[in-house]
Amino acid sequence: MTAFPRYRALLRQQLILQRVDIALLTILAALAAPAALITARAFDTSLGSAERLLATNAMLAAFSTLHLVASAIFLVVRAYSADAAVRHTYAASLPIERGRYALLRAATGLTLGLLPLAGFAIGVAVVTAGVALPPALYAYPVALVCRYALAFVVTFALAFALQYGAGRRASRIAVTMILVLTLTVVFAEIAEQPNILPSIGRVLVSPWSPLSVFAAEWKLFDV
Amino acid sequence: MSESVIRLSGVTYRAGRDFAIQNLSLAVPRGAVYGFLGPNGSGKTTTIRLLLGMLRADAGRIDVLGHRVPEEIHRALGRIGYVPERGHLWPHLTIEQTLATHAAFFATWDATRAEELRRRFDLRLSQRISALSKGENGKLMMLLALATQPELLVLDEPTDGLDPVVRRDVLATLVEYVATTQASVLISSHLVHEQERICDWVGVMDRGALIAEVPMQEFRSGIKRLRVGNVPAVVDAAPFALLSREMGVGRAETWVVRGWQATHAEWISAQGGALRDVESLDLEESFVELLRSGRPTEGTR
Repeated sequence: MTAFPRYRALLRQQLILQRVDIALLTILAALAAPAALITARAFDTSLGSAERLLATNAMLAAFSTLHLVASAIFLVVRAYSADAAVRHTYAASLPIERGRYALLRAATGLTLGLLPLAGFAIGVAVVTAGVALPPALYAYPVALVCRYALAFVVTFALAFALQYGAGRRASRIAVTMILVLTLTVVFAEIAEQPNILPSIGRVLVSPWSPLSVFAAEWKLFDV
Repeated sequence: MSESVIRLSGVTYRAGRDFAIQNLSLAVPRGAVYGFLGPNGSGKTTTIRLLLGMLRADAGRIDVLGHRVPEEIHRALGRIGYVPERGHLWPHLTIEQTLATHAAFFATWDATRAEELRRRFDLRLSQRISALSKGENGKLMMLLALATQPELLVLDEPTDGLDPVVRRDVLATLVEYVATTQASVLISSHLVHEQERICDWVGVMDRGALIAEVPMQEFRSGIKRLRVGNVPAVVDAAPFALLSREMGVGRAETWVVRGWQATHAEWISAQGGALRDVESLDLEESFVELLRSGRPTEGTR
């Protein structure tokens, strides 16, 4: 039996499970760029047109990063939870190696991630087409969408590895990591010691790390 | 014993502090309908999950349809129809979507047979799994198991909690399938009468150990209740196993024995005893007596 019918079956299963989530994520992604543009204009009317467009970048970067991280985690966790809710019995009774099943799950999650990506691309394209660029300012919609896609794949891969590697303990591990980081910052503040979080952040996004995709500039408009 | 479709040898598995499968050896002959009996919590479901590779044994060896478990279980699963103890299907799918998903994973899926069973079980394609009654869920799981045309059916309490009508439908369909395909079946249940009707082998689990594994005929005919007068002083050397003994009036006793044969009456006479009555036990009584014999503190001896 070839892998494609199985992939298609699992894709449909996950799409039915997450159709509302995916629709919302796609709509939010599509609204990201227009909302960032409108907000940048509304916040500071004293800015010139070039400055306003550049101010859009920061907002769009923050929103799109949050959005893609949430989308990736949501796609991984919800699919896993559907199996966990029936104690993985159905998945374990299928005539397929567990590793291959996990690969199919990864493939379906990544495929469904294309929908929010498409939404994001549409939003970016609409803003790019609707804005009159001042001299010396250019739009980079393709680069931004590619960056979004790459960052989504990296986040998805990390979330997937944690979820399918640690199983039910994944959420506990994630919460523990967040707690440790938070406590580190709090204790550093209390003891008036240098905060090590920026150093950790620098290591995580150093050029050799896949997370470096988050560190680079997320700019729709630039010179 | 002929070739086995399931063979467990010296399997040990510990689940927490209070329960363990201990050195379990079991064999299901090809073509047999093997009744896997035992009270709740005796280890039947754990054994089934072990032999399907859902749990990993701490020690011992498991082979199913000639494949080592858990390493090669995915090769065997395509030839196994499995009905678990509890509903295991994705609740957000409809029956139609569930059938399509299942078909995508089983090369032997018989769509015509699936449709025939769906009509027989009166299941609507548009019904959502989460909205199915327990009976409908049981029928759907049996449909999924049978429509893959399995060589081996592993059924974990398939009729537990079903009403009599649904139970009869499900069992009739199972018996029909086995009769036409000669498939092997491992069916676990604590509904002993049900097993008596359909099984030709029986294995009895209690507290994580297999305490009996015999052909059904032998199990049924081999356990008897005897009324004995002038009870012999020494019964240790008896040619049968004395499962329980109950004091009667005077020197009379009621014995429950295993491995009884008509010629054993002579042994009782030779010891000075008087055999007054031999009564056959039905499977449920035999099962209860067997369990009691393995639990000395609860016995009547």
